[in-house]
Amino acid sequence: MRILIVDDSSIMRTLIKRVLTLTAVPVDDILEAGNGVEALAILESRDVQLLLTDINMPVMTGIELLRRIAADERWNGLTRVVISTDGSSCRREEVAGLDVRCYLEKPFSPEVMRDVLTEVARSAGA
Amino acid sequence: MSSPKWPEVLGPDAERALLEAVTAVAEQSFFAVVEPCDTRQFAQLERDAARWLVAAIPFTDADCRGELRCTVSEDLAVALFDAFTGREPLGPPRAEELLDLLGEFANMACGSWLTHRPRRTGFTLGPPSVKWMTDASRPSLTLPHLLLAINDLPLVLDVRATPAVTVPV
Repeated sequence: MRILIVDDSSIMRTLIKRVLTLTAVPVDDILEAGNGVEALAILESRDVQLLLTDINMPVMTGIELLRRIAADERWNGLTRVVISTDGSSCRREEVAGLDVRCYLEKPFSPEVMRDVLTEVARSAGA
Repeated sequence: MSSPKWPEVLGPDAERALLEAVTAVAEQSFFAVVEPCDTRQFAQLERDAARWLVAAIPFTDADCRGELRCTVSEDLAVALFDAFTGREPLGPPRAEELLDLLGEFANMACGSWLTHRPRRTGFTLGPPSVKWMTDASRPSLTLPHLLLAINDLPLVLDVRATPAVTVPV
């Protein structure tokens, strides 16, 4: 499985990568992007099965990224997960129509993230 | 010295909600313990801190716009970095990594605070601005603030907020 992590914090990307190594999910490749524009460039050129994205990012937000993905049928099979500090109900409602599998709110313990990613990644790979 | 009055525009219990938010962030993602300090306790911790970093997160919601600032001693920033990354503390992290980490800590604290405060509305966070304080400067206590210790190392959270300007149609 190829996974794309989108977050403007390199520290957060590193943490997510580390947690992914703790799951039993077979990971072939982990790609990284610092914002939505970089993520779209990767999606255009690589086959990705699981997207983990932050919301608040410079250049292009996670919401705009998810809108672009939802509007393009090439990415219908892409499993999408939001990992954000913004857990407000209006933000959750905003992504509800964008085919997001799971909304993980920061802060979280690595164990919670591991369990969520294990479940999501398994279903994405099934 | 008591903290200046918290802006009413932040809603009721904004101070308590911020304490709960930073406690949740510290415990869940940094495996650290947060304790409120009085000014005497904080002064003691402050004396041992040689250098300070400050992270500012701008925010806006339907009612107001403002900024949450998170000022920490260098020792606390390094301790948070080690806890978050699982790094063995063999030497100091790179400066840019430390700034990134503190920005993420402040971002999580601000986002969690605004998400869970009693009067909830949607909000937007701006990108963190993180920098070293100049050698001579100490944390400013002129804004409404919380004095805290995380694993016995000093942290100040302060807040500036003003009502959103509504433009008549």
